Amino acid sequence: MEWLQNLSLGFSVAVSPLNLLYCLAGAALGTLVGVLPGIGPVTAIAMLLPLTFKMPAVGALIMLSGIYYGAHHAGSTTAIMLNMPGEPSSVVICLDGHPMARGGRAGAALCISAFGSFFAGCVSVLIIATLSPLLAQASLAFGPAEYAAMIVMALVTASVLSSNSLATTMGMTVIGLLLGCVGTDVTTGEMRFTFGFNQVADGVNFVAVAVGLFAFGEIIINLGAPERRVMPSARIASLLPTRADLGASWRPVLRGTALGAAFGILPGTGPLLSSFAAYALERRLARDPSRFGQGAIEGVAGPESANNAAALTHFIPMLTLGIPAGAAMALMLGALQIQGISPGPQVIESHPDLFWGVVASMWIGNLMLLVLNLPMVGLWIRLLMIPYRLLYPAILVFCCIGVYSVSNSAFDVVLAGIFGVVGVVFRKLDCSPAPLVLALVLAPMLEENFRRAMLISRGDPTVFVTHPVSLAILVLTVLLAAFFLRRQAADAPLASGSDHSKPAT
Amino acid sequence: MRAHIRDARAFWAGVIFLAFGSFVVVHAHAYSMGTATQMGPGYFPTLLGIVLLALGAISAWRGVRAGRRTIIGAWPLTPLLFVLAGVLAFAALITDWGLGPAVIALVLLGCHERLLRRPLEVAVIGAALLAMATGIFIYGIQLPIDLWPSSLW
Repeated sequence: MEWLQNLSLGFSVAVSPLNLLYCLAGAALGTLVGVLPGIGPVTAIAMLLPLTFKMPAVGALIMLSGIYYGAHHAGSTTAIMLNMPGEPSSVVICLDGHPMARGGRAGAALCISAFGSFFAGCVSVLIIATLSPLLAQASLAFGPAEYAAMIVMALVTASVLSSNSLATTMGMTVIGLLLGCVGTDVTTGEMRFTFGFNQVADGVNFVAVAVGLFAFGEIIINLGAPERRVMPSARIASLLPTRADLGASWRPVLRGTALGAAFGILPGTGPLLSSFAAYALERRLARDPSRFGQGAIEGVAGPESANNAAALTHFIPMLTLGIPAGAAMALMLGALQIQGISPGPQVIESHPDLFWGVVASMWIGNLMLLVLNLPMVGLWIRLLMIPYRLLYPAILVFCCIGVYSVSNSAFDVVLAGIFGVVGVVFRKLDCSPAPLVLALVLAPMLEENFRRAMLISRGDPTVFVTHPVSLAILVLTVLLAAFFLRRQAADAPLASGSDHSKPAT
Repeated sequence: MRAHIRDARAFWAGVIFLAFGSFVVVHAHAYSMGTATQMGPGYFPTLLGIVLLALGAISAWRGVRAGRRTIIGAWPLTPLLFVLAGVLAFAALITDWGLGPAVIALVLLGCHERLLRRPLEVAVIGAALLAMATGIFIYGIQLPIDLWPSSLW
């Protein structure tokens, strides 16, 4: 029962007034970001990065993680009320949540999704508390080959899930890895690809790249499109679900939590995949699948629990191995590094207050989200009425200050501007920028471990398949990739079939 | 040529990958390759560059042979130029001129489309953002940034 002791240490850290305040600030900001469609957790974390410089490391991580899970929690609110997913992972919530709202049951949908999320959150916090120390212990035995295999797994699974075309997302990943090579070579100290710019001697600032690709790119695209007016199309009659709703949703909540927690642990997968998988699972298990899409409560309960469970267990690879599982996590890792904490398996031992404090704050944060989301849902919906033309200048200003303040470098702001243009080009070409940012962060780790593994094996590349753990990770990667590619191939004829009927001109 | 490209997005993504990949492979020649055991600084980038070339070729090929026809929509050229100009202006002003001029330039350029139609709205947005940024970053967490050029005082 050592973890109980640890958790109580965590709670003693997390309930200090200041940390509670950080937790509340993170959860509230995350909710705001989750509700507003034009701004995601990556942009929000980048904007708030400078605020964390003067904060203690625990408080900083508590606030930033609050933004992350808060956004995933709240993305479903707009999905239910307005048929408009606040975050990509709540796209499936639209399918049944919005029909429920139009049928006058918005309150029940919101309530079930909030409590499902909260339950998933509680379970996930326990999973993090039990599993992380074990994994950290096990990872001490990991050699460079195993680390390289883990990173490859994170990159491949993130690419497979990102978009329709594997070639383009893998290409984005490789471009990210190449950008990560810029700067001083670790082994020889030689400058690579710097072209005389000393500002990138320590590598390309990934906050600048992320802000450019996500925030600026998004703003430019949105400004090019006609402005959308949002009007709430549903009213909330009563927040309370009926007895039948509860009876129908407790099993999906359990299943969704299990599914999401399992997927979240694997680096690279995460909330988006889990919510889709949970929806598919519920539809398959349903006695009457035709109800799905018409407002089936199971189609809200399952995916929403899975989404939140995955958003939390997603922290495990980052906290125990130092391998961020997505672009937003990569930024949090950056915040830790700015605080002088090098992430990895030693964090739990050397900074127990940080690790356990953050884990405990996740539970507290989920409790706060329950309050923030249910009674105050009307307020968030009203915030959606803020026209985009008032919102984006603020995003521009705070992003510029955020990028500049990381190392007081105007060069980084220029870099962000350039990557804004690059982001627009990639978006127009249907290439998702998320794998690029993840790869950029992981590139130095991948190269170092790859080179060390090859050095130890005397240049024999079979080292990655003869080490059992590394082999297992790679086999799992291939299986996951094959599974999702087959799913996509199976879905593709449906999608392109309708296009074939049109004469190609 | 144009008539043979079916999925324009996949095709041009492939072209970008090919261009970037060949640039990397050529440029990485400047660094020593080393051996598989003792890799030099050029080894890893060259490897990645070759992978990128392969991916670019696949993507471009798919663009030519795709089953369904897709086109790239109109480019948001005006917002692109103005947002980029605003960010670059911010970068040019922030160190020597301070937060005030940098934020004002960024908001003016960022709100280009209503600068003449609704000058008051732009002024209010700019003033509010400048006040917020000053309060949070200069007085609040005391970032080492000036508000106005120090030579003014």
